[in-house]
Amino acid sequence: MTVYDKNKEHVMKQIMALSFTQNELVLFLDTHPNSQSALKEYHKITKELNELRKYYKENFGPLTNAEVTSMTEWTWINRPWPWEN
Amino acid sequence: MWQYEKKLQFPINIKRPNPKLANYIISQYGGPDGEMGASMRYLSQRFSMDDDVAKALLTDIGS
Repeated sequence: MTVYDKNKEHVMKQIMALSFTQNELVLFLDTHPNSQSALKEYHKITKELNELRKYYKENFGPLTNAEVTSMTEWTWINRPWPWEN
Repeated sequence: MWQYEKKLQFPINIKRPNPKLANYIISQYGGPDGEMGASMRYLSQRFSMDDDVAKALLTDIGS
């Protein structure tokens, strides 16, 4: 799966959706650690999410302060922050 | 340990700001009955669990 989306908000929405789903699967798996179907779904979602996160940080900016890619400026501090426009 | 992600959990688009509702929502976070308090309790209680499922659940819900 390759992402070729120039729309930052659109990619972010997909990341939000997959991230939420992933978190729900984490909670389910905590109480159903032997569920093969849930685990399979978790890996499917995680793979897709990681590709999207990689694309996002390469094209739009870091999602965490541990994945800043620029070698010339500390882009982590750039706006907008999630609570800004 | 926790890592902050520079994103909201879901998109937000407030068409009609409602300060009274905003105040109510904020009140749900703080204070002795608030979500922050509950989160801190879960993160403390996980250390006294024997069961692995309980440790994981308290950690993940607390987080």
